[in-house]
Amino acid sequence: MAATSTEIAIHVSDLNYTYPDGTVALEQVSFEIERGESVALVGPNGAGKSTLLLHLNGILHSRKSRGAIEILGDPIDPKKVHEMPKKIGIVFQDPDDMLFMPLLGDDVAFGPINLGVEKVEVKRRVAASLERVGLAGYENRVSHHLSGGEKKRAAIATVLSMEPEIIAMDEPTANLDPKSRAELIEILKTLKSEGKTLIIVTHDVNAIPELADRVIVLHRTIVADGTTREVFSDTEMLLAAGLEVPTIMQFFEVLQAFGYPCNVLPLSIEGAVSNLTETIENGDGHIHLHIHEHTHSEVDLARSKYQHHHHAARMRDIYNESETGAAH
Amino acid sequence: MISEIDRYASLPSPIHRWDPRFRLVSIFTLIFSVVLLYNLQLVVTGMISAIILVYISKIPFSFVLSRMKLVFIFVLPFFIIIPFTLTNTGLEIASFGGITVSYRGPESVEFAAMIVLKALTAVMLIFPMIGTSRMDITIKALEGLHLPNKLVQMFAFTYRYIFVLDDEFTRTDRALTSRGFKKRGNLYTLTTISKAIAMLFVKSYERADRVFYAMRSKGYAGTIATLHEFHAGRQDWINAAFVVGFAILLQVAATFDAFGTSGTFGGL
Amino acid sequence: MVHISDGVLAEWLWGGGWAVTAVILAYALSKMRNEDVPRLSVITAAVFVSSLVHISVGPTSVHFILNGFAGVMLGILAYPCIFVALVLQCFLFGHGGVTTIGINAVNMGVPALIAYLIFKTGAGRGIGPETKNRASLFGAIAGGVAVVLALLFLAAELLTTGEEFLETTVLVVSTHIPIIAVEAIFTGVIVGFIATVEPELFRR
Repeated sequence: MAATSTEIAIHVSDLNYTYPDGTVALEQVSFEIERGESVALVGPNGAGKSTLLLHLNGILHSRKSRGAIEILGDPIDPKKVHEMPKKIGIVFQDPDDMLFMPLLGDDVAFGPINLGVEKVEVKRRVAASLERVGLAGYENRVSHHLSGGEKKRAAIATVLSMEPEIIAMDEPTANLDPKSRAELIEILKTLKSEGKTLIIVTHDVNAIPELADRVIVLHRTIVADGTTREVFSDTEMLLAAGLEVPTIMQFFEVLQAFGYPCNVLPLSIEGAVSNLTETIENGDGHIHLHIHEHTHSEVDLARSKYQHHHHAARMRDIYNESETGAAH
Repeated sequence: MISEIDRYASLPSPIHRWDPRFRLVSIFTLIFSVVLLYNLQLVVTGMISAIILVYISKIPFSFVLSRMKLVFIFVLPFFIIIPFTLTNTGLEIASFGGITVSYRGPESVEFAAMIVLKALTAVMLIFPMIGTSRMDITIKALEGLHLPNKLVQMFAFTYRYIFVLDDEFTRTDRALTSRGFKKRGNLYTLTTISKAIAMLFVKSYERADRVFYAMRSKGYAGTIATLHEFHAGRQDWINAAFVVGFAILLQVAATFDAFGTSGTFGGL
Repeated sequence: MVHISDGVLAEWLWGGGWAVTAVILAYALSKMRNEDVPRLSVITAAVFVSSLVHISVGPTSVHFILNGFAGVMLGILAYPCIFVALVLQCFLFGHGGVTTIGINAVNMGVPALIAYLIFKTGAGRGIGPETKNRASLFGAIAGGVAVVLALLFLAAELLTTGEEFLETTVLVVSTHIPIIAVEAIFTGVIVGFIATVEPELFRR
């Protein structure tokens, strides 16, 4: 393990990347992540999130990106990419890309063998990693025959076996059924509680409050970077970036229109429970909701605030008005 | 869609227990030995040895036969056509529209039979050779036999992605069918399928890039090792000695026969 | 495409096939970079899967061979792809023969290399959406020629082995004539498609 004294896990300063076909993927990207932090990386499709992840272990690099990234205090040497997994492991979005060996056990052993780990230790790590993702005893399974949820967890095991301090994941909860999604979130929460530094690329806003302390919004460049609450409070920015806030947050804003007293909108079910408990205790065992003549228009207002098609319609109205204005 | 030859890889048989490295080399030798024979009796002996090996391996004969259909379809024309000729060199048996069909004689029937039997024996021997352990273990055995590492990697990855791409192509095929596409013998069918396959290739290149990134992310620097270890015991050597010994015996018998008087069809 | 089964050809032919294959394979493997391995494997898998697609032409059913296409896209590295595909076809389906893997690789692989030369010479370097038709045309020629050559190799080998094979050769070659057209059209369409969608792939 790279035991460094620095408290900074990932340091990115002024990272730029242009695809060979000329498309600009990343522009002046700068951020820092401390050790033990858990960060959600969000952004619309094609915002450069996956491209950014592939830069973090040096797989993608260009002259412009030289020296822009430091992992655990050291700049990335493009010639030593094969040594990077000791520090940072990346879980790809499509597990079929990560499970390329015929047997799952070989896939999980692949990383540690490449890192020169002793055979006995590799075996221990394979068994331990599979157990941590709930696939104990799956060493001799054929990857092709696993279910979608199992494949996602297996892909995580292939990274855990390398025991990196930092783990970056590309949409770990995408395309999963609710049970598999819940299992995956549990695995991520455990990793977080163990003090791993996590970067989670996701569109799953409802999972973010449980998994991340901080959210970075990427849209070619860093659009926002702050605590989960700060970022989710900036509705305009989120809408412009094509994103949304957790459903619970929207629901409590609707409750406000019905007269629910609430200064800080909860982000998760847990937050909602404590918020309700507190409000009911303060209200002598009751909460009071009511309807008055403006209630429903306030509800509509609260809802449309978060809805993209409303947003789009509003933009269209504005556009049409200016069009007709010009015609007169 | 792709049925697997290793469907019966987990049966309990002496051949299944045989170290795959020894099994591959030994049966491979036997196949070569049978193919090199030019004596019908010895070829039949080889075929019987193949049947015995399949029997010992407990792989159902119905499975073996169903898989031998393709070879049979390929070699059957030989059997039918070789004994006859369109030239006037043989015994004329029919003539229509100026074309004469003549019979080459009994030697040509023996020759044709030998070709068919050899081809069938070779394919039949693939089952005890490959079908008695899982394909991935077989591929590892190739590595154990010191084939070039890059070639073994290609076998392993190709075998893995055949199934992924087969699924992908099946999805494309269903998408075409659900929009009313029907395969017919016309240009439209051909160009449509060509484009579907072209798309499969473009996607495959993209996937290949991602797989390579994933491998690099896991520290890949050119070679691949696995934890699998083969342990050869006394029984593995005995089995090998038995099968390879039989292969050599066939060749010895063939050599003596070459000096003998029996009417072989050698040298053709 | 019919692959030659065991026991048909003279020993020196299939033995020579192994020798030629060993030499070309060794050369191709020495040219192969690490990053080529997953790419070639995925392409080999794609060739393998595509060759399972059957289309009925007249009374017969044909399937893609794709050796010309593999040559056009991969150059010398098409040879290991074809070799791996043939071995897997033999092992998975009992298709072709065991002793004849070498000669079958020659029959498919050498025409693939010639197809590559034809395409490289004809279509030039700057393949892109603008030069799509030219690429398509030479792709079709390369694809057709690859099959013609494969058939010629097969015929020559059968006839060298013995004059008993004359009628068989005529039969095999004549039944495969539609495949020449199918493969030419296929390779032309697919090369045109890639030239439009992802011309970068020709420059790998």
